[in-house]
Amino acid sequence: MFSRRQGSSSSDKKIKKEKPTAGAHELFLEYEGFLAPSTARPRPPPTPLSKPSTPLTYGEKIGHNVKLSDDTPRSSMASYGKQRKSFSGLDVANDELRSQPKRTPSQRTKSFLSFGKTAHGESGHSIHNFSRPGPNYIVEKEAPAQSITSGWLRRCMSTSLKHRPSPPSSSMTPPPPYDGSLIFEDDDFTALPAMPGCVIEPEPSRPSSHLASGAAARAAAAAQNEILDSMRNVTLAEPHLTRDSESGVGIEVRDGGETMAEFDFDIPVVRHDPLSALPLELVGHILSYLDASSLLNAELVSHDWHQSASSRHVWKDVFHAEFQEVSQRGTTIAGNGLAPGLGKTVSCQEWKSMWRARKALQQRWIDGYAAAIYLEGHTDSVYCVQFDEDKILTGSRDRTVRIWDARTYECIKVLGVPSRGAGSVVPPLPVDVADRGQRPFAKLFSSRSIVEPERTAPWLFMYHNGSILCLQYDDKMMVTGSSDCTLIIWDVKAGYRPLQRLREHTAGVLDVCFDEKHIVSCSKDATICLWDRNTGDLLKKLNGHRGPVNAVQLRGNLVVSASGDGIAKLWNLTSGLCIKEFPSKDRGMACVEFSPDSRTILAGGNDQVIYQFDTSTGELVREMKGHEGLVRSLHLDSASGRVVSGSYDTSVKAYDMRSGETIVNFTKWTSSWILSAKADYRRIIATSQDSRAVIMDFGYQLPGIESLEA
Amino acid sequence: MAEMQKIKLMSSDSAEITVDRDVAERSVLIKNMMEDIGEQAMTEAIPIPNVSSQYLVKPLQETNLPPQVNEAVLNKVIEWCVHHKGDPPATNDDDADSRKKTTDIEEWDQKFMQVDQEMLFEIILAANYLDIKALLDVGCKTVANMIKGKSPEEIRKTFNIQNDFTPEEEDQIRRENEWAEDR
Repeated sequence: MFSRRQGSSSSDKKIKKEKPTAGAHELFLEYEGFLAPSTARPRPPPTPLSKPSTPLTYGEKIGHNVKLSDDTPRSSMASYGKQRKSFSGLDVANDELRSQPKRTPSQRTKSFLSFGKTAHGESGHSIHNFSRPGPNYIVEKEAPAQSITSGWLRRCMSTSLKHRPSPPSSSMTPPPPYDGSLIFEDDDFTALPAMPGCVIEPEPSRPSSHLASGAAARAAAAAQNEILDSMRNVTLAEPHLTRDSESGVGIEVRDGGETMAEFDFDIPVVRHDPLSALPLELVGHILSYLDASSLLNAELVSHDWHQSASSRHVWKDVFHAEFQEVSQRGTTIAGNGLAPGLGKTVSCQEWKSMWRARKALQQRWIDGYAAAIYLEGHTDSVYCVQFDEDKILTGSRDRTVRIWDARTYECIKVLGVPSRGAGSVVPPLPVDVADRGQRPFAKLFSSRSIVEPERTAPWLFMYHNGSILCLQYDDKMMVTGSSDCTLIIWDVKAGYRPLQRLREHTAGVLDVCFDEKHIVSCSKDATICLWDRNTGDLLKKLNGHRGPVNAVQLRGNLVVSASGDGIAKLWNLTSGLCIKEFPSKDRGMACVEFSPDSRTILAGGNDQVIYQFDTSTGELVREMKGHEGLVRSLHLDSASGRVVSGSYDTSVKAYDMRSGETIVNFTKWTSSWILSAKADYRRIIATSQDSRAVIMDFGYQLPGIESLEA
Repeated sequence: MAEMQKIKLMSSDSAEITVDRDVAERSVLIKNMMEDIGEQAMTEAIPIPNVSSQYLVKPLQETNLPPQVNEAVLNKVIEWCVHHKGDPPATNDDDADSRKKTTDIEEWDQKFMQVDQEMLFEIILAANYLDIKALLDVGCKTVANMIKGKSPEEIRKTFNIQNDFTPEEEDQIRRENEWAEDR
């Protein structure tokens, strides 16, 4: 094991480079690599400051530290460096050392004894857990400390030495006062005798300040490590008596009253690898509390840790903790159909790679890194869109609904009879200009294979004689609303066969929305109609708006509507009454969104901002700004925590729902107004007046993206 | 109503500890046991097994012994149960919720968990064996907090673990996980 470590070329280089100035050991202050330095490093000569009378030599000190560093290269080497500095008297880096140049005998005792406890406590343990091939360490005691510690040392020897009668390494100074070699694992002991300045406090209680991240956790751990404080002494001392002879812990209890008080700090710590102390399922339990970056670090600890920390089980928790949190907040909305990007509900998935794909996708959203896939086929403005992972449905002024394959981007079906005279002239796309903000990293076009409307299809008896202004579908049903003043219900399972036409509105049907029970439609005639989903019966008519009702959303017993009269209204379906109004500051409203938990209402329109209202208080919570034209379309993807808006300024923007910050700003990806925009975890699909729909795909060619599909 | 029933527990090292029944029944294991054996439980001490304290110096997997609850650990566990006896019963459904609150260990529990690693792991094992979910969670969170935010070296240091990777192996893992950094 030790020889393996020698191979690190980078650390070797570093050593060589810095050697001349600082001496072979100082450089480990800088050591950032992950490999422990080799124990085979040449032993440095004794420091000139080392007193001849001190049996402890420099070399031992180093050998000792090298051994420690085997486990914990970075921080122990750092402390080692500090130690060396104070040794040579060149630079006392450690604040504590500076302020405490001399140890009093009692301090010495404390450290001495507490160190002894460490060694004692660990010795039995390490026999089983670590078979270190390295040399053992010879510890010298100094005369002043002897009288106090000898009793303890004897005990220490009687317990730990019998376990490991290791002969002293020949290269080390033999220990005159004791013939047996004591095995110690703490700096304090060795540092103690001759070097008053070399107080190395127990490692665990000293969070490494040079590592910025996770300070709190480290501090917590440090605190945890500084146990044996009042609690342990008080509550556990007695019960532990029976165990002391076994574990070596709790010496203080038997060491008599006069030393007890001094044990309150510098408490030695017994360290166990949780992976060997606990069964696997409990290890999994522990790891499931960790975040991804902590787990990635844990994977690098050892082979066992790698296996545990990279397990599916653990990463499943990470994945869900990170990405499902948002989506579980709201309830599922019927007909929403939007995939949350959480993968399938099957067992044995590669959660770690899924997490990785999801994380990369998230970054693409932040970076605005998306491909543009243009769906061309409609011959006039595309007013509305809804999609899932398999298909995309668009409704157009050309009086048809087109169904596109979401993977091949091909148009697979055209519903309706195209308006006569509608040309197929699609205006050219605007030329990409750098200063227009984020551009697509790739551009693709749907194949222009002409899909003819099925002339013999059964739906020929029923179709819209006007623009398709709105649509919504779920597994079973699609509802379209048209400027021909009617709605049509289609049977999705029977290949989009039209079932029924709903007539009531006296002007174009501008928006539609349905759930398990109801269909709600709104119209230019300033009314809102409530229909029975199953029978198609008109249940209620909501009157109150003084202008065209442009948008409507349904949540249970509540409906929210937005009107050209500049007011968004909240309606109670049971009573049919308007229960609250949310006015714009100035002009008409074009679109509205109702959060799944019904708490938040978003509305946009001619004021060119997105208003966010609190449903219960009616308060205007926030205005999301940025658009330079009428905000025509809003979509809240609550699973991803994003609001997507489309505007007449030809831009599509995405806002972070929590902060209100703009995340994405795609301007002029189409050549004209944006009429509709919806989003899921990986893409935005926007439709434009230029007769195109465009998929803004953040997951395009992203490795592992398929694993996120439901 | 008579005063609270007392029951006796016997630790692995044969210490008898008398506790209120409602305290002991924080442990689902004891609760079920009480239901199974009924009134007899009031008179005889319930043995909380096992063996000796030997396993402490050996990794559990090597000794292959079931977790044992000695007097010190049992006292500690009872201390926790006494403090938490009024807590509402744990709900099983909000697993995801409790995961969110990793750093959320209530103050008393934090203090309670200020024990050495040996005792900490013993408490976890005992909580697992006795089926005291809330205590198990607190224990596991405490360990998780000792890992959280640390570099691999710091983790090794915390638990005195030897790095048994070759440089090549380490490199490979780093490369595999590279995508996750700075993301």
